[in-house]
Amino acid sequence: MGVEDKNRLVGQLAASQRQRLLRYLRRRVRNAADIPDIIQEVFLRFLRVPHHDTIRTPEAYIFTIARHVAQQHRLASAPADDFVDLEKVVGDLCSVADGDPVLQVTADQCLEQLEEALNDMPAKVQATFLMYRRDGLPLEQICERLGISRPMAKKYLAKAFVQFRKRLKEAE
Amino acid sequence: MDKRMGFNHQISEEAAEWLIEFRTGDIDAAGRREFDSWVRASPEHLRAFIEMAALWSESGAVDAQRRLEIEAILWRSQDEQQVIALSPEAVRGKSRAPARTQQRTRSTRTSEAQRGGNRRTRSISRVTRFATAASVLAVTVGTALILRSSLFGPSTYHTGVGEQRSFRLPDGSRVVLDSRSRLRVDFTRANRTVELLQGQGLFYVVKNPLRPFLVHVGGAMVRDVGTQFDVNRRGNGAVITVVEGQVSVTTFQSTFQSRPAVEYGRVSKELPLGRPVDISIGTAARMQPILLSAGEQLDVAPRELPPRPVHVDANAVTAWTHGQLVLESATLPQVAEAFDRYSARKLVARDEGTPELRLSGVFATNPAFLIRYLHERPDIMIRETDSEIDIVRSPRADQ
Repeated sequence: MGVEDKNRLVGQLAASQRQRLLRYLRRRVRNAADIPDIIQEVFLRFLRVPHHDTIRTPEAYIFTIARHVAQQHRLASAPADDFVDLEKVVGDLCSVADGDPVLQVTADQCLEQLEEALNDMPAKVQATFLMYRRDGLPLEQICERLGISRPMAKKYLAKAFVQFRKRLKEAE
Repeated sequence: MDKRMGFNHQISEEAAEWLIEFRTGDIDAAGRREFDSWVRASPEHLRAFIEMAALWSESGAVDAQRRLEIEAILWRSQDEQQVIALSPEAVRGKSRAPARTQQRTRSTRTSEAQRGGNRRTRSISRVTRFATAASVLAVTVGTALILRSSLFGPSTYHTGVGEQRSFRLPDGSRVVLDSRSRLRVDFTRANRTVELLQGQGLFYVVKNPLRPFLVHVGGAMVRDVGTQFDVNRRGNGAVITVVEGQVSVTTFQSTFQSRPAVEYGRVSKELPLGRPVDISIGTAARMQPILLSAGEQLDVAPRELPPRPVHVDANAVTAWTHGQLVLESATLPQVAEAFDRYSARKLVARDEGTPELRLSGVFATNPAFLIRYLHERPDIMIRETDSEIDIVRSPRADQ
Protein backbone atom coordinates (compact mmCIF):
# COMPACT_ATOMS: atom_id res chain seq x y z
CA MET A 1 0.00 0.00 0.00
CA GLY A 2 1.49 3.32 -1.07
CA VAL A 3 1.65 6.39 1.06
CA GLU A 4 -1.13 8.02 -0.93
CA ASP A 5 -3.41 5.06 -0.38
CA LYS A 6 -2.59 4.98 3.25
CA ASN A 7 -3.35 8.64 3.61
CA ARG A 8 -6.59 8.23 1.82
CA LEU A 9 -7.53 5.36 4.04
CA VAL A 10 -6.75 7.35 7.14
CA GLY A 11 -8.76 10.21 5.73
CA GLN A 12 -11.72 8.00 5.10
CA LEU A 13 -11.43 6.47 8.51
CA ALA A 14 -11.31 9.86 10.08
CA ALA A 15 -14.31 10.97 8.09
CA SER A 16 -16.31 7.98 9.13
CA GLN A 17 -15.39 8.48 12.74
CA ARG A 18 -16.14 12.12 13.00
CA GLN A 19 -19.87 11.87 13.39
CA ARG A 20 -19.53 9.02 15.79
CA LEU A 21 -17.13 10.92 17.87
CA LEU A 22 -19.19 14.03 18.01
CA ARG A 23 -22.39 12.26 18.80
CA TYR A 24 -20.59 10.19 21.30
CA LEU A 25 -19.12 13.27 22.84
CA ARG A 26 -22.31 15.21 22.75
CA ARG A 27 -24.17 12.44 24.44
CA ARG A 28 -21.57 12.47 27.13
CA VAL A 29 -21.90 16.19 27.50
CA ARG A 30 -25.49 15.78 28.52
CA ASN A 31 -24.73 13.09 31.02
CA ALA A 32 -21.30 13.56 32.42
CA ALA A 33 -18.41 15.91 32.44
CA ASP A 34 -15.90 13.61 30.86
CA ILE A 35 -15.56 15.35 27.52
CA PRO A 36 -12.72 17.48 28.78
CA ASP A 37 -10.96 14.25 29.78
CA ILE A 38 -11.34 12.81 26.33
CA ILE A 39 -10.20 15.95 24.64
CA GLN A 40 -7.32 16.17 27.03
CA GLU A 41 -6.34 12.62 26.24
CA VAL A 42 -6.56 13.19 22.51
CA PHE A 43 -4.52 16.31 22.94
CA LEU A 44 -1.81 14.62 24.95
CA ARG A 45 -1.52 11.79 22.51
CA PHE A 46 -1.36 14.20 19.65
CA LEU A 47 1.49 16.00 21.36
CA ARG A 48 3.33 12.72 21.66
CA VAL A 49 3.27 12.19 17.91
CA PRO A 50 6.30 13.95 16.41
CA HIS A 51 5.70 16.95 14.21
CA HIS A 52 7.15 15.42 11.12
CA ASP A 53 4.62 12.62 11.28
CA THR A 54 1.55 14.71 11.88
CA ILE A 55 2.27 17.55 9.55
CA ARG A 56 1.41 15.60 6.47
CA THR A 57 -2.17 15.01 7.47
CA PRO A 58 -2.65 16.59 10.86
CA GLU A 59 -6.39 16.49 10.53
CA ALA A 60 -6.50 12.81 9.84
CA TYR A 61 -4.18 12.16 12.74
CA ILE A 62 -6.42 13.99 15.11
CA PHE A 63 -9.39 11.91 14.22
CA THR A 64 -7.56 8.64 14.27
CA ILE A 65 -6.34 9.43 17.74
CA ALA A 66 -9.70 10.69 18.85
CA ARG A 67 -11.35 7.55 17.60
CA HIS A 68 -9.00 5.39 19.62
CA VAL A 69 -9.52 7.43 22.73
CA ALA A 70 -13.28 7.49 22.38
CA GLN A 71 -13.37 3.78 21.80
CA GLN A 72 -11.21 3.04 24.79
CA HIS A 73 -13.22 5.35 26.91
CA ARG A 74 -16.36 3.63 25.85
CA LEU A 75 -14.99 0.20 26.50
CA ALA A 76 -13.87 1.27 29.90
CA SER A 77 -17.00 3.08 30.92
CA ALA A 78 -19.80 1.04 29.46
CA PRO A 79 -20.58 -2.47 28.41
CA ALA A 80 -21.10 -3.14 24.73
CA ASP A 81 -24.44 -1.40 24.60
CA ASP A 82 -25.42 0.37 21.47
CA PHE A 83 -22.24 0.54 19.52
CA VAL A 84 -23.86 0.74 16.15
CA ASP A 85 -22.40 -0.37 12.89
CA LEU A 86 -20.16 2.35 11.59
CA GLU A 87 -21.21 1.83 8.03
CA LYS A 88 -24.71 2.72 8.96
CA VAL A 89 -23.77 5.98 10.55
CA VAL A 90 -21.57 7.15 7.77
CA GLY A 91 -23.25 8.91 4.97
CA ASP A 92 -26.64 10.31 5.40
CA LEU A 93 -27.11 11.43 8.92
CA CYS A 94 -30.70 12.28 8.37
CA SER A 95 -31.85 8.92 7.16
CA VAL A 96 -30.78 7.51 10.48
CA ALA A 97 -32.43 4.29 11.32
CA ASP A 98 -29.77 2.93 13.53
CA GLY A 99 -32.22 1.96 16.19
CA ASP A 100 -30.81 4.15 18.89
CA PRO A 101 -33.51 6.56 19.98
CA VAL A 102 -31.12 8.59 22.08
CA LEU A 103 -28.79 9.18 19.19
CA GLN A 104 -31.76 9.84 16.96
CA VAL A 105 -33.15 12.51 19.21
CA THR A 106 -29.77 14.10 19.60
CA ALA A 107 -29.22 14.14 15.87
CA ASP A 108 -32.65 15.63 15.23
CA GLN A 109 -32.21 18.26 17.87
CA CYS A 110 -28.80 19.08 16.56
CA LEU A 111 -30.13 19.47 13.06
CA GLU A 112 -32.93 21.67 14.27
CA GLN A 113 -30.44 23.87 16.07
CA LEU A 114 -28.29 24.13 12.99
CA GLU A 115 -31.24 25.07 10.82
CA GLU A 116 -32.36 27.70 13.27
CA ALA A 117 -28.88 29.12 13.44
CA LEU A 118 -28.71 29.21 9.66
CA ASN A 119 -31.95 31.10 9.53
CA ASP A 120 -30.45 33.87 11.62
CA MET A 121 -27.41 34.34 9.43
CA PRO A 122 -26.98 37.05 6.83
CA ALA A 123 -28.39 36.05 3.45
CA LYS A 124 -25.04 35.72 1.73
CA VAL A 125 -23.64 33.52 4.45
CA GLN A 126 -26.71 31.33 4.13
CA ALA A 127 -26.44 31.18 0.38
CA THR A 128 -22.75 30.38 0.44
CA PHE A 129 -23.17 27.65 3.01
CA LEU A 130 -26.12 26.03 1.23
CA MET A 131 -24.49 26.08 -2.17
CA TYR A 132 -21.25 24.65 -0.87
CA ARG A 133 -22.41 22.16 1.70
CA ARG A 134 -25.89 21.19 0.60
CA ASP A 135 -25.59 21.54 -3.16
CA GLY A 136 -21.91 20.61 -3.34
CA LEU A 137 -21.10 23.38 -5.78
CA PRO A 138 -17.44 24.23 -6.33
CA LEU A 139 -16.29 27.39 -4.64
CA GLU A 140 -15.48 29.05 -7.96
CA GLN A 141 -19.05 28.75 -9.08
CA ILE A 142 -20.36 30.16 -5.83
CA CYS A 143 -18.00 33.12 -6.05
CA GLU A 144 -19.14 33.83 -9.55
CA ARG A 145 -22.78 33.64 -8.66
CA LEU A 146 -22.48 35.87 -5.63
CA GLY A 147 -19.91 38.17 -7.16
CA ILE A 148 -17.49 37.66 -4.31
CA SER A 149 -13.85 36.63 -4.00
CA ARG A 150 -12.65 33.23 -2.91
CA PRO A 151 -11.33 34.47 0.45
CA MET A 152 -14.68 36.12 1.03
CA ALA A 153 -16.56 32.93 0.28
CA LYS A 154 -14.33 31.05 2.70
CA LYS A 155 -14.91 33.70 5.28
CA TYR A 156 -18.65 33.29 4.89
CA LEU A 157 -18.32 29.54 5.29
CA ALA A 158 -16.22 29.91 8.42
CA LYS A 159 -18.73 32.40 9.74
CA ALA A 160 -21.53 29.89 9.30
CA PHE A 161 -19.64 27.30 11.31
CA VAL A 162 -18.81 29.75 14.08
CA GLN A 163 -22.52 30.46 14.37
CA PHE A 164 -23.33 26.75 14.36
CA ARG A 165 -20.94 26.08 17.19
CA LYS A 166 -22.17 29.07 19.11
CA ARG A 167 -25.75 27.92 18.79
CA LEU A 168 -24.96 24.43 20.01
CA LYS A 169 -22.96 25.81 22.92
CA GLU A 170 -25.89 27.95 23.93
CA ALA A 171 -28.19 24.97 23.68
CA GLU A 172 -26.08 22.79 25.89
CA MET B 1 -1.34 32.42 12.54
CA ASP B 2 -0.62 34.60 15.48
CA LYS B 3 -1.07 33.24 18.92
CA ARG B 4 -3.92 35.30 20.23
CA MET B 5 -5.25 33.37 23.15
CA GLY B 6 -8.55 35.11 23.08
CA PHE B 7 -11.92 34.13 24.35
CA ASN B 8 -13.98 31.36 22.98
CA HIS B 9 -15.28 33.24 19.98
CA GLN B 10 -11.78 33.82 18.74
CA ILE B 11 -10.85 30.16 18.99
CA SER B 12 -14.08 29.26 17.26
CA GLU B 13 -13.21 31.53 14.40
CA GLU B 14 -9.74 30.12 14.05
CA ALA B 15 -10.98 26.56 14.19
CA ALA B 16 -13.61 27.32 11.57
CA GLU B 17 -11.05 28.93 9.32
CA TRP B 18 -8.79 25.92 9.58
CA LEU B 19 -11.66 23.61 8.87
CA ILE B 20 -12.54 25.51 5.72
CA GLU B 21 -8.89 25.53 4.65
CA PHE B 22 -8.88 21.75 4.83
CA ARG B 23 -12.28 21.25 3.26
CA THR B 24 -11.65 23.51 0.31
CA GLY B 25 -8.31 21.82 -0.24
CA ASP B 26 -6.63 25.20 -0.16
CA ILE B 27 -4.24 24.21 2.58
CA ASP B 28 -0.59 23.88 1.57
CA ALA B 29 2.49 22.51 3.32
CA ALA B 30 3.08 25.76 5.19
CA GLY B 31 -0.52 25.81 6.23
CA ARG B 32 -0.30 22.29 7.59
CA ARG B 33 2.69 23.24 9.67
CA GLU B 34 0.86 26.25 11.00
CA PHE B 35 -2.16 24.17 11.78
CA ASP B 36 -0.03 21.59 13.54
CA SER B 37 1.42 24.18 15.87
CA TRP B 38 -1.91 25.89 16.32
CA VAL B 39 -3.53 22.69 17.43
CA ARG B 40 -0.61 21.83 19.71
CA ALA B 41 -0.92 25.16 21.40
CA SER B 42 -3.94 24.37 23.49
CA PRO B 43 -6.45 21.64 24.15
CA GLU B 44 -9.08 24.30 23.61
CA HIS B 45 -7.88 24.62 20.03
CA LEU B 46 -8.12 20.92 19.57
CA ARG B 47 -11.55 20.78 21.11
CA ALA B 48 -12.82 23.60 18.95
CA PHE B 49 -11.43 21.98 15.87
CA ILE B 50 -12.89 18.56 16.62
CA GLU B 51 -16.25 20.12 17.24
CA MET B 52 -16.03 22.12 14.04
CA ALA B 53 -15.17 19.03 12.08
CA ALA B 54 -18.08 17.19 13.64
CA LEU B 55 -20.34 20.12 12.82
CA TRP B 56 -19.14 19.86 9.27
CA SER B 57 -20.46 16.33 9.11
CA GLU B 58 -23.72 17.12 10.80
CA SER B 59 -24.29 20.17 8.68
CA GLY B 60 -24.36 17.97 5.61
CA ALA B 61 -27.93 17.14 6.54
CA VAL B 62 -29.03 20.75 6.91
CA ASP B 63 -31.94 21.39 4.60
CA ALA B 64 -31.39 18.06 2.90
CA GLN B 65 -34.89 18.41 1.53
CA ARG B 66 -33.88 21.55 -0.26
CA ARG B 67 -36.63 23.76 0.94
CA LEU B 68 -34.48 26.83 0.96
CA GLU B 69 -33.97 28.32 -2.44
CA ILE B 70 -30.85 30.26 -3.19
CA GLU B 71 -32.73 32.67 -5.43
CA ALA B 72 -35.15 33.48 -2.64
CA ILE B 73 -32.37 33.98 -0.14
CA LEU B 74 -30.52 36.28 -2.49
CA TRP B 75 -33.71 38.08 -3.24
CA ARG B 76 -34.15 38.66 0.43
CA SER B 77 -30.65 40.00 0.61
CA GLN B 78 -31.69 42.54 -2.02
CA ASP B 79 -34.51 43.59 0.20
CA GLU B 80 -32.25 43.84 3.20
CA GLN B 81 -30.07 46.22 1.30
CA GLN B 82 -32.66 48.22 -0.55
CA VAL B 83 -34.98 48.76 2.32
CA ILE B 84 -32.42 51.08 3.83
CA ALA B 85 -31.88 53.14 0.78
CA LEU B 86 -35.53 53.99 0.42
CA SER B 87 -37.70 56.36 2.35
CA PRO B 88 -40.35 54.81 4.60
CA GLU B 89 -43.10 55.72 2.14
CA ALA B 90 -41.26 54.15 -0.73
CA VAL B 91 -40.67 51.04 1.31
CA ARG B 92 -44.30 50.65 2.03
CA GLY B 93 -45.11 51.02 -1.62
CA LYS B 94 -42.43 48.66 -2.72
CA SER B 95 -43.19 45.93 -0.28
CA ARG B 96 -46.63 45.52 -1.69
CA ALA B 97 -45.30 45.03 -5.15
CA PRO B 98 -45.18 41.44 -6.26
CA ALA B 99 -41.79 39.84 -6.06
CA ARG B 100 -41.16 38.44 -9.44
CA THR B 101 -38.64 40.21 -11.65
CA GLN B 102 -35.63 38.03 -12.21
CA GLN B 103 -33.89 40.75 -14.17
CA ARG B 104 -33.82 42.96 -11.17
CA THR B 105 -32.09 40.30 -9.13
CA ARG B 106 -29.50 39.83 -11.77
CA SER B 107 -28.76 43.45 -12.45
CA THR B 108 -28.52 44.31 -8.78
CA ARG B 109 -26.17 41.46 -8.25
CA THR B 110 -23.86 42.67 -10.97
CA SER B 111 -23.80 46.15 -9.63
CA GLU B 112 -23.10 44.73 -6.23
CA ALA B 113 -20.12 42.87 -7.55
CA GLN B 114 -18.82 46.13 -8.89
CA ARG B 115 -19.33 47.76 -5.58
CA GLY B 116 -17.34 45.00 -3.93
CA GLY B 117 -14.62 47.46 -3.01
CA ASN B 118 -16.57 49.37 -0.43
CA ARG B 119 -17.79 46.30 1.36
CA ARG B 120 -16.07 47.38 4.54
CA THR B 121 -17.88 50.69 4.63
CA ARG B 122 -21.17 48.98 4.14
CA SER B 123 -20.60 46.41 6.80
CA ILE B 124 -20.19 49.07 9.44
CA SER B 125 -23.78 50.07 9.15
CA ARG B 126 -24.88 46.48 8.99
CA VAL B 127 -26.31 46.39 12.50
CA THR B 128 -28.44 49.47 12.02
CA ARG B 129 -29.42 48.38 8.60
CA PHE B 130 -30.30 44.93 9.65
CA ALA B 131 -32.39 46.15 12.54
CA THR B 132 -34.34 48.48 10.30
CA ALA B 133 -34.68 45.85 7.65
CA ALA B 134 -35.85 43.31 10.16
CA SER B 135 -38.58 45.52 11.53
CA VAL B 136 -39.83 46.47 8.11
CA LEU B 137 -39.59 42.96 6.80
CA ALA B 138 -41.43 41.56 9.76
CA VAL B 139 -44.42 43.75 9.08
CA THR B 140 -44.59 43.84 5.33
CA VAL B 141 -42.39 41.78 3.09
CA GLY B 142 -42.19 38.72 5.26
CA THR B 143 -39.86 35.95 4.44
CA ALA B 144 -41.05 32.49 3.78
CA LEU B 145 -40.16 30.65 6.90
CA ILE B 146 -39.83 27.06 7.65
CA LEU B 147 -41.34 26.77 11.04
CA ARG B 148 -40.28 23.26 11.70
CA SER B 149 -38.08 21.29 9.48
CA SER B 150 -37.74 18.05 11.33
CA LEU B 151 -37.95 15.12 9.01
CA PHE B 152 -40.86 13.45 10.69
CA GLY B 153 -43.11 16.28 11.75
CA PRO B 154 -45.20 18.54 9.57
CA SER B 155 -43.66 21.71 8.18
CA THR B 156 -45.34 24.95 7.31
CA TYR B 157 -44.36 27.08 4.37
CA HIS B 158 -45.58 30.60 4.16
CA THR B 159 -45.25 33.75 2.14
CA GLY B 160 -45.53 37.36 3.19
CA VAL B 161 -47.58 40.11 1.64
CA GLY B 162 -46.54 40.70 -1.94
CA GLU B 163 -44.30 37.68 -1.95
CA GLN B 164 -44.58 34.69 -4.24
CA ARG B 165 -42.39 31.68 -3.87
CA SER B 166 -41.89 28.30 -5.37
CA PHE B 167 -41.16 25.45 -2.99
CA ARG B 168 -39.90 22.02 -3.81
CA LEU B 169 -41.59 19.44 -1.63
CA PRO B 170 -39.74 16.40 -0.28
CA ASP B 171 -41.12 14.13 -3.03
CA GLY B 172 -39.98 16.46 -5.80
CA SER B 173 -43.41 17.97 -6.33
CA ARG B 174 -43.52 21.72 -6.51
CA VAL B 175 -45.89 24.32 -5.22
CA VAL B 176 -45.98 28.00 -6.01
CA LEU B 177 -47.50 29.93 -3.15
CA ASP B 178 -49.16 33.24 -3.78
CA SER B 179 -48.88 36.26 -1.56
CA ARG B 180 -49.86 35.74 2.07
CA SER B 181 -50.36 32.01 1.89
CA ARG B 182 -49.68 29.19 4.28
CA LEU B 183 -49.22 25.55 3.44
CA ARG B 184 -48.74 22.76 5.93
CA VAL B 185 -46.88 19.78 4.57
CA ASP B 186 -47.15 16.46 6.30
CA PHE B 187 -45.70 13.60 4.34
CA THR B 188 -45.86 10.06 5.59
CA ARG B 189 -44.81 6.83 4.02
CA ALA B 190 -48.34 6.19 2.80
CA ASN B 191 -49.56 9.64 1.87
CA ARG B 192 -48.38 12.99 0.74
CA THR B 193 -50.69 15.26 2.67
CA VAL B 194 -50.69 19.02 2.51
CA GLU B 195 -53.13 21.52 3.85
CA LEU B 196 -53.70 24.96 2.43
CA LEU B 197 -54.37 26.99 5.55
CA GLN B 198 -54.52 30.29 3.76
CA GLY B 199 -54.13 31.81 0.34
CA GLN B 200 -53.53 30.17 -2.98
CA GLY B 201 -51.18 27.59 -4.39
CA LEU B 202 -50.41 26.11 -7.78
CA PHE B 203 -49.36 22.50 -7.42
CA TYR B 204 -47.17 20.49 -9.77
CA VAL B 205 -47.45 16.97 -8.50
CA VAL B 206 -44.98 14.22 -9.25
CA LYS B 207 -46.72 11.00 -10.27
CA ASN B 208 -46.86 8.28 -7.68
CA PRO B 209 -50.05 6.19 -7.66
CA LEU B 210 -48.94 4.33 -4.56
CA ARG B 211 -48.56 7.48 -2.56
CA PRO B 212 -51.39 9.83 -3.43
CA PHE B 213 -51.05 13.55 -3.07
CA LEU B 214 -53.82 15.00 -0.91
CA VAL B 215 -54.64 18.65 -0.54
CA HIS B 216 -56.94 19.57 2.31
CA VAL B 217 -58.60 22.91 2.02
CA GLY B 218 -61.70 24.53 3.45
CA GLY B 219 -64.11 21.63 3.65
CA ALA B 220 -62.72 19.74 0.70
CA MET B 221 -60.01 17.30 -0.14
CA VAL B 222 -58.29 17.16 -3.49
CA ARG B 223 -56.72 13.86 -4.42
CA ASP B 224 -54.21 13.64 -7.14
CA VAL B 225 -51.64 11.26 -8.49
CA GLY B 226 -49.69 13.46 -10.84
CA THR B 227 -50.91 16.63 -12.43
CA GLN B 228 -51.10 20.40 -12.15
CA PHE B 229 -53.81 22.28 -10.34
CA ASP B 230 -54.58 25.47 -8.52
CA VAL B 231 -56.21 25.72 -5.12
CA ASN B 232 -57.50 29.04 -3.89
CA ARG B 233 -58.68 29.16 -0.33
CA ARG B 234 -61.55 31.56 0.30
CA GLY B 235 -62.71 31.81 3.85
CA ASN B 236 -64.06 28.42 4.72
CA GLY B 237 -64.40 27.43 1.10
CA ALA B 238 -62.05 26.93 -1.80
CA VAL B 239 -61.85 27.15 -5.56
CA ILE B 240 -60.05 24.28 -7.25
CA THR B 241 -58.93 24.54 -10.85
CA VAL B 242 -57.23 21.81 -12.85
CA VAL B 243 -54.58 22.92 -15.31
CA GLU B 244 -53.45 19.52 -16.46
CA GLY B 245 -54.55 15.94 -15.81
CA GLN B 246 -57.31 15.01 -13.43
CA VAL B 247 -58.08 15.23 -9.74
CA SER B 248 -60.89 14.01 -7.58
CA VAL B 249 -62.40 16.37 -5.07
CA THR B 250 -64.19 15.18 -1.99
CA THR B 251 -66.31 17.75 -0.24
CA PHE B 252 -67.76 17.64 3.20
CA GLN B 253 -71.22 18.66 4.26
CA SER B 254 -71.87 22.07 5.65
CA THR B 255 -72.40 20.83 9.20
CA PHE B 256 -68.68 20.58 9.29
CA GLN B 257 -67.61 23.84 7.85
CA SER B 258 -66.98 25.55 11.15
CA ARG B 259 -64.46 22.96 12.20
CA PRO B 260 -60.87 23.72 11.40
CA ALA B 261 -59.72 21.97 8.29
CA VAL B 262 -56.88 20.50 10.31
CA GLU B 263 -59.33 17.84 11.40
CA TYR B 264 -59.36 16.37 7.95
CA GLY B 265 -55.63 16.37 7.78
CA ARG B 266 -55.39 14.33 10.92
CA VAL B 267 -57.82 11.76 9.72
CA SER B 268 -56.10 11.10 6.47
CA LYS B 269 -52.81 10.47 8.16
CA GLU B 270 -54.10 7.34 9.78
CA LEU B 271 -55.26 5.82 6.57
CA PRO B 272 -53.70 2.64 5.37
CA LEU B 273 -51.56 2.68 2.31
CA GLY B 274 -53.32 3.24 -0.99
CA ARG B 275 -56.81 3.86 0.37
CA PRO B 276 -56.93 7.56 1.00
CA VAL B 277 -60.41 8.14 -0.35
CA ASP B 278 -62.02 5.83 2.11
CA ILE B 279 -62.57 8.35 4.85
CA SER B 280 -65.20 8.57 7.50
CA ILE B 281 -65.03 11.46 9.87
CA GLY B 282 -67.29 11.28 12.84
CA THR B 283 -70.62 12.83 12.03
CA ALA B 284 -69.48 14.47 8.85
CA ALA B 285 -71.18 13.17 5.79
CA ARG B 286 -68.81 12.86 2.93
CA MET B 287 -70.14 13.59 -0.52
CA GLN B 288 -69.35 11.57 -3.59
CA PRO B 289 -65.96 12.51 -5.00
CA ILE B 290 -66.23 14.83 -7.97
CA LEU B 291 -63.90 14.25 -10.87
CA LEU B 292 -62.29 17.36 -12.30
CA SER B 293 -60.43 17.47 -15.60
CA ALA B 294 -58.13 19.99 -17.19
CA GLY B 295 -59.82 23.35 -17.67
CA GLU B 296 -62.47 22.61 -15.10
CA GLN B 297 -63.10 24.45 -11.88
CA LEU B 298 -64.99 23.62 -8.74
CA ASP B 299 -66.11 26.24 -6.27
CA VAL B 300 -66.47 24.60 -2.91
CA ALA B 301 -68.36 26.93 -0.65
CA PRO B 302 -69.87 26.00 2.67
CA ARG B 303 -73.63 26.02 3.12
CA GLU B 304 -74.20 25.29 -0.49
CA LEU B 305 -75.51 22.48 -2.55
CA PRO B 306 -73.04 20.03 -4.00
CA PRO B 307 -70.81 22.08 -6.26
CA ARG B 308 -70.68 21.56 -9.98
CA PRO B 309 -67.60 21.76 -12.17
CA VAL B 310 -67.56 24.63 -14.64
CA HIS B 311 -65.26 25.27 -17.57
CA VAL B 312 -62.77 28.07 -17.08
CA ASP B 313 -59.67 29.47 -18.66
CA ALA B 314 -56.98 27.85 -16.55
CA ASN B 315 -54.43 30.39 -17.76
CA ALA B 316 -56.50 33.21 -16.35
CA VAL B 317 -56.84 31.40 -13.05
CA THR B 318 -53.10 30.91 -12.73
CA ALA B 319 -52.20 34.37 -14.04
CA TRP B 320 -51.24 35.32 -10.51
CA THR B 321 -48.05 33.34 -10.95
CA HIS B 322 -47.06 36.05 -13.44
CA GLY B 323 -48.17 38.81 -11.11
CA GLN B 324 -51.51 39.30 -12.81
CA LEU B 325 -55.10 39.08 -11.77
CA VAL B 326 -57.70 38.40 -14.39
CA LEU B 327 -61.07 39.76 -13.43
CA GLU B 328 -64.21 39.04 -15.29
CA SER B 329 -67.27 41.06 -14.45
CA ALA B 330 -66.23 41.29 -10.81
CA THR B 331 -68.13 43.40 -8.31
CA LEU B 332 -66.26 45.93 -6.22
CA PRO B 333 -66.28 43.73 -3.09
CA GLN B 334 -65.01 40.84 -5.21
CA VAL B 335 -62.23 43.01 -6.56
CA ALA B 336 -61.26 44.07 -3.05
CA GLU B 337 -61.25 40.44 -1.95
CA ALA B 338 -59.07 39.43 -4.87
CA PHE B 339 -56.55 42.18 -4.20
CA ASP B 340 -56.59 41.92 -0.45
CA ARG B 341 -54.03 39.12 -0.47
CA TYR B 342 -51.47 41.43 -2.04
CA SER B 343 -52.09 44.35 0.25
CA ALA B 344 -50.38 45.04 3.54
CA ARG B 345 -53.48 46.92 4.63
CA LYS B 346 -56.88 45.36 4.57
CA LEU B 347 -58.92 46.18 1.49
CA VAL B 348 -62.60 46.77 2.09
CA ALA B 349 -65.07 47.78 -0.59
CA ARG B 350 -68.71 48.71 -0.67
CA ASP B 351 -70.78 49.49 -3.73
CA GLU B 352 -73.79 51.63 -3.01
CA GLY B 353 -74.43 52.52 -6.61
CA THR B 354 -77.03 51.08 -8.93
CA PRO B 355 -76.46 49.28 -11.10
CA GLU B 356 -73.46 47.88 -9.37
CA LEU B 357 -70.07 48.37 -10.92
CA ARG B 358 -68.55 45.42 -12.74
CA LEU B 359 -64.86 45.31 -13.54
CA SER B 360 -63.17 43.17 -16.17
CA GLY B 361 -59.61 43.04 -17.34
CA VAL B 362 -56.09 42.04 -16.53
CA PHE B 363 -54.63 43.80 -13.52
CA ALA B 364 -51.23 43.78 -11.91
CA THR B 365 -51.45 42.20 -8.48
CA ASN B 366 -49.94 45.30 -6.93
CA PRO B 367 -52.89 46.94 -5.17
CA ALA B 368 -51.30 50.35 -5.66
CA PHE B 369 -52.27 50.16 -9.34
CA LEU B 370 -55.85 49.30 -8.48
CA ILE B 371 -56.09 52.15 -6.03
CA ARG B 372 -54.69 54.57 -8.56
CA TYR B 373 -57.18 53.33 -11.14
CA LEU B 374 -60.13 53.65 -8.78
CA HIS B 375 -58.98 57.09 -7.67
CA GLU B 376 -59.61 58.32 -11.17
CA ARG B 377 -63.26 57.45 -10.98
CA PRO B 378 -65.29 60.36 -9.63
CA ASP B 379 -67.91 58.12 -8.07
CA ILE B 380 -65.40 56.28 -5.91
CA MET B 381 -64.12 57.47 -2.55
CA ILE B 382 -61.03 55.97 -1.05
CA ARG B 383 -60.19 56.40 2.60
CA GLU B 384 -56.81 55.14 3.72
CA THR B 385 -55.76 54.48 7.30
CA ASP B 386 -52.71 52.70 8.65
CA SER B 387 -54.52 49.41 8.73
CA GLU B 388 -57.21 49.68 6.11
CA ILE B 389 -58.06 50.91 2.67
CA ASP B 390 -61.72 51.64 2.46
CA ILE B 391 -63.26 51.83 -1.00
CA VAL B 392 -66.79 53.18 -1.31
CA ARG B 393 -68.76 53.79 -4.43
CA SER B 394 -71.36 56.46 -3.89
CA PRO B 395 -75.03 55.87 -4.82
CA ARG B 396 -74.90 58.41 -7.60
CA ALA B 397 -75.49 57.14 -11.08
CA ASP B 398 -72.61 55.44 -12.77
CA GLN B 399 -70.37 57.70 -14.79
